[in-house]
Amino acid sequence: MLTLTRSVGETIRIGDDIEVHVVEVRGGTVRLGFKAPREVTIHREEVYRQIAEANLLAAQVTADSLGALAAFAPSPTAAGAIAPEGVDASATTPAAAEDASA
Amino acid sequence: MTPTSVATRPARAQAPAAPVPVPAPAPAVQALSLTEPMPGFPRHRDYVLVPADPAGVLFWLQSVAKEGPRFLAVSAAAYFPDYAPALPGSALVELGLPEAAGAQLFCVVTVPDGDVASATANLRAPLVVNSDTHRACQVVLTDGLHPIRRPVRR
Repeated sequence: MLTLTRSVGETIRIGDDIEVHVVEVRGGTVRLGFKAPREVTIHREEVYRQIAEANLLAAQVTADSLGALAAFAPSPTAAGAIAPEGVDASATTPAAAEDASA
Repeated sequence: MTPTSVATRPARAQAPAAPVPVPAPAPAVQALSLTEPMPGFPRHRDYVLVPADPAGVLFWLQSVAKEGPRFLAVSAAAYFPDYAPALPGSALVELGLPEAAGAQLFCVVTVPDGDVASATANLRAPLVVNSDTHRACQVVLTDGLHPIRRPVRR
């Protein structure tokens, strides 16, 4: 791993178009600023790793889960719509209620 | 005379040929091109988003690669009506979305050990889809307001 020493206000350049600025150093904490093309995403490592781990676990899903998960939805007729949770929710969507009874 | 009609062609190409057993307009299968890979699956950018239930709530997010990953995702609008995360402007630009309201959001579902009762949805990193261009990205939110594991059961 390349190691460089920089002071506040100084910059590191990575390739042609990525800049890392040392904004502030206080105690054991460093504030960094980044300039990069928008297609370059920048994450805190631990957050990125959490998402990656969540995705790896999520990819183990099987089709067995489908029925039960569908039943957890707020309303089976609410695709894209904001349905009230009231008891008469089905009455407000007569067309979809027909689907359910068919 | 005709060049402008080209713009509508990709959407029509997605019309499903298979019969769908619901009278309501069924959500169509979408081919998605990710602007960056899902974290954890760096080699996969091309997916299809396939409706998994008649109500249009659950979707398979399936890599087109033979050994690629498959996820289950829920429509955020249908499942979490109050979910309105602030999407970073850079992500919207990358997806070609003029405003956040044009985005379709999906949350990846995890079912630990097949136990549906403890299933969770990832609200921290929604899959943001531009359904006009079929470009998508799993955007990692930085506001800290949305959990990675929100219980799905109610």
